[in-house]
Amino acid sequence: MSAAARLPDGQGSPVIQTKGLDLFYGNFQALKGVDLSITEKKITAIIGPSGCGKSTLLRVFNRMNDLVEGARVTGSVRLDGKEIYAPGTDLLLLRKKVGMVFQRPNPFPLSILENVVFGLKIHHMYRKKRGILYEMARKSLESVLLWDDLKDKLGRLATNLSLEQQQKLCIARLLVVKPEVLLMDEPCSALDPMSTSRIEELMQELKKNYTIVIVTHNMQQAARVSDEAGYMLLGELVEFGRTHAIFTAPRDKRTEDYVTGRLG
Amino acid sequence: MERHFDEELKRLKEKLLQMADLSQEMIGLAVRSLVRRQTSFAEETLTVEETVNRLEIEIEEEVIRLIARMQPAAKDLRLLTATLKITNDLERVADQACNIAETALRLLKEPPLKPLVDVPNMAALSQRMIKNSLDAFVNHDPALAKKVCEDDDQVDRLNRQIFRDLLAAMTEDKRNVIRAVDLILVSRNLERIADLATNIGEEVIFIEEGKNIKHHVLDRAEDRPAAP
Repeated sequence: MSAAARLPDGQGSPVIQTKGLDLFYGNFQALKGVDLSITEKKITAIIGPSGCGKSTLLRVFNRMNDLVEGARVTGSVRLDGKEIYAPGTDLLLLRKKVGMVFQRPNPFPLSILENVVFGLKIHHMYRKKRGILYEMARKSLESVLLWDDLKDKLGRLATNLSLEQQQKLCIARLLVVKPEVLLMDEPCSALDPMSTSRIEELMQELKKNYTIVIVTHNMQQAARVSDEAGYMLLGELVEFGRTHAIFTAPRDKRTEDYVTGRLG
Repeated sequence: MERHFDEELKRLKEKLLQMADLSQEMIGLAVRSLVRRQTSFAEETLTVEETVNRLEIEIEEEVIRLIARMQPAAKDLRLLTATLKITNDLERVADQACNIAETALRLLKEPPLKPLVDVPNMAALSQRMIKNSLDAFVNHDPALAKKVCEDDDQVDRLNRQIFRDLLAAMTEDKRNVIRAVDLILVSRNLERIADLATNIGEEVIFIEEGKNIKHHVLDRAEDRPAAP
């Protein structure tokens, strides 16, 4: 990381911290010495051109890259102060604490209710009593502002919902297991502008209780929703700081070129 | 990479420079009217103002259009917001020049109070400050912009000097009062022009360095520790 990239002056405690983080896919180095700190209950956006490593970085935070053959990580990645790449890390627990939503909403081909409570099964939080289960689903769906629309249709197939509803349902599916961090990888790129704006509104609501990290191609979205932002280029975190600083007076010429559209 | 946006920014800058040239010219005309005791220069000042006002509106509309359409960031954003302020400053420079012209038209109906020395000096200084502030803008020169801010002290000194001299003239003979007050107003108009040039200098520093130096605010408020 260049001298210009500094950690934002601590307001709120750090949830995720990386230091000297390198990631290799075989011989290709996708992340180069990334140092950053994700602050609790803030929205942090990672921006940068295609292939800069921003999704790779996001996938480090819940070790999704473990699924890629030949992927190798060195350096420190801490969640609540604990190394997540230490041997013996409980991946199931990690991914419960650090949930993820993707570009295309990916509800299971099950009912809406079954989708929401799915994580409870995986994490053995499944209560036998239907009433409690229903109550937890209600809370999650309320948090994503879907309850009023869907409360009478909980038995319907989730894959028939609109894309916006599907994406919100995928977020509800994470919330039910009480995560700390929500990772969002281009969560609105399949959505129209109205749906995008409603997901952005939802993010502002969610940040009251959760820490959010969003990867986006859409610079205006990063400028609108995030509190802190990082610019990545060729695997390097070029600059990281308050969003307003990144978009009004970036310190690094490369960030300036990107946010002003000079970098193709 | 050269962007289509850069072309549009260039056209906007040209328009701002045209406005700056006219505002400077207006200061010159208004003061020349006083010094040479010719009403035609004062009348010309008032005519030129119409063009300055039109340019102000055009620039404002252009900036708003570019913000809406291009969603500028970083230096582009600073340039556009600062342009909006500079254009407003220049319009006020033109207003001050008109005030001088109107005062001149009044003063020229009376015999001269005394030969004018400090007023033309002050006018030349203020004009140069406007010119330098715009040169700093065009040439991306924050050092020159800083110099403009420093030059303001000289104008302030002249303003006080003129005030003292005219006060003396008024105490000497009360028939001098009306003309002396008018000249004090002119001096004050020129002092305001120098203040506006200082504003422009500060805007240029903001564009170039992303720092707000107004009112000696060197750091952003939120980066400073909270007051106890």
